[in-house]
Amino acid sequence: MLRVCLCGLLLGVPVSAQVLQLSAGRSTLLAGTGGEITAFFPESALSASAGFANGHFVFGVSDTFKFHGLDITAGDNIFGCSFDGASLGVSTRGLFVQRKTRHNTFVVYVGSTGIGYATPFMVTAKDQHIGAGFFLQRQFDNGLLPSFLAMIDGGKHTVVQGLSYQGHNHRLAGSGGLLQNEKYFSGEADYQPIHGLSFSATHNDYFLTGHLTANSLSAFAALGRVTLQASVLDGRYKVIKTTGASAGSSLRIGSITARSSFYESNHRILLVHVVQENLHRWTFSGIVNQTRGQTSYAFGGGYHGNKISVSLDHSVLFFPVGGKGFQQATTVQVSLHIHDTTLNFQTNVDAMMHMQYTTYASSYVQGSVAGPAMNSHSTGGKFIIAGAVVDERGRPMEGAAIQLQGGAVVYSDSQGRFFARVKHDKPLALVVLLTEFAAPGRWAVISCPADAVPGTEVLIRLGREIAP
Amino acid sequence: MKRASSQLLLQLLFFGLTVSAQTVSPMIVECGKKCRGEFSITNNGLTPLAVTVEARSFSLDTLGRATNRPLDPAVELKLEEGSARISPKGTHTFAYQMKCADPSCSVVLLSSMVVGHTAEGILVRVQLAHTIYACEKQKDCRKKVRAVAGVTVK
Repeated sequence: MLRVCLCGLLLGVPVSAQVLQLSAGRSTLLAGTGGEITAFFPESALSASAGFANGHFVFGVSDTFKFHGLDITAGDNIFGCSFDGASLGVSTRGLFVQRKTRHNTFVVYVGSTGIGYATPFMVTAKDQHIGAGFFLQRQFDNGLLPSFLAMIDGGKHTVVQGLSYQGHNHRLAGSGGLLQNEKYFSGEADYQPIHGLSFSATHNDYFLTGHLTANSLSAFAALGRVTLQASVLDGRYKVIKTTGASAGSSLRIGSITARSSFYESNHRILLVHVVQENLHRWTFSGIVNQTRGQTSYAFGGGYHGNKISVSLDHSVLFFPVGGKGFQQATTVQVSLHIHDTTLNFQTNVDAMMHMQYTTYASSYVQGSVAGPAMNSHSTGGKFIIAGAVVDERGRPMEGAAIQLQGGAVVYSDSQGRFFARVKHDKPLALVVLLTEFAAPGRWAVISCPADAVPGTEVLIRLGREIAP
Repeated sequence: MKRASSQLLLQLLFFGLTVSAQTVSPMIVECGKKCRGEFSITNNGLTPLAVTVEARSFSLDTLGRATNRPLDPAVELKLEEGSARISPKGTHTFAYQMKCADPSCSVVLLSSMVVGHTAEGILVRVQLAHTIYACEKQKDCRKKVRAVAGVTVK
């Protein structure tokens, strides 16, 4: 029966949906491969996911809709709550109801719980136990934010109470209780006595294959172009205790920042010197590492643009698991935007210091009520093709779409003006894209030059079409 | 006719659902006489969005209310792009270079976009502002401009 519903959903949805979101990917960090299709309707969103997680076939279906001011999800969902350092995500298969107002958040779920899988490309759940839970949070005008979470997940009980307070120059937050039958406490205190000077202290409990406790004390000061920071860290995992200390300073001159940091853990000292330059959308960095009398060099950098983002970063992270202390980690991130499709690749270092990756693609397919469909990124350049779009009475027309030879599409502004930067000083063919207008109504071209020469003004005249 | 009406209703409902908040970041920047900057527009909706960017100079009254006017001749602004189509859930960054020949220049870059219709079918157009304060020195430029304008409210 479930398979019939799933097939019906997958076959029937694309026909009637207004927007479809298709995602697929693979992650070694989350140990899974799969895909998801989400159909957005006027008042609801229907999702279906399938794939393999930890070598097993998994699937999930959900319907999200509004009902009397409530956000309801029927099917597979992640019952996730995060407050004051506590965060808990439980995979649920059942009914999930949420109501959010300016001051209050109320979430309740009833159904089955089990091992779930939530990624940007797939959400599934495996029903193992009967479970139920609720979450309450209220924001008071005086800065107080109390939260309460209670749930039963099979034989595991969770009851966590949280409270945070945001004052004029300080913030205090704490939460504690039982988190899936384990005692839990998390606390954080931040104090900023003057602008540019801050102190912070944290305590956190994490649950991996064992109980991990982490504490930190840190101070930060910014004095014009110079920043100073120092921190002390302490972690305990199973029976191994790891401590660490770090201190560093940085100097910024124009687009260049020079930073030197000292790290000490497990009687091992690591010195890291970084010079970083930011040039418009580019970042370049050179890194010198010194440890145990050895010196090594590394380079990083990145580019952040509208179509592509790439970065190679080196950072020093504190790993309390296995008593590893401060370790260097390298991460790579690539993101490509092609029309309405996004491709992502990212590496991460997990808690055990293993390099993992996540890669996925996501695309939107428009139904009958689509917005503009053409790509409009300007190619850039020092020459400008500019002009104006007016209607039959000479009034400026906003939202007209004009395509230049080479594919770039530009839109006219409220004054009817448009421009595009081009690389070469030569005439380019010009086409008015009547079906791509952001302006309402049906239009016809009265006059439009066949091509445009950089440096000269183009005038396009349009007339409103009267429907027969 | 009935089918056309139901389709129109569906479209209005659809747009009603997708009139989600579009965002601009950062909202305000301060810079020296010459600056290079950028701002990003995020489309939180499910349909592509056509965005046009227009530059205006502005003055403040004593209550801090801004009045826009065409760009002053003292402002030399080079926008990399004047419009863009932003994918669903996508972000587009507009870059610019600006020179100010006066002691201070107050410029607003207005990003305009049609985000949907009201239930009555009236087009909803949103303008998001990225404000640039340029002075001889970057530090406290906004504060100085507001002081010169005699702004008494914080």
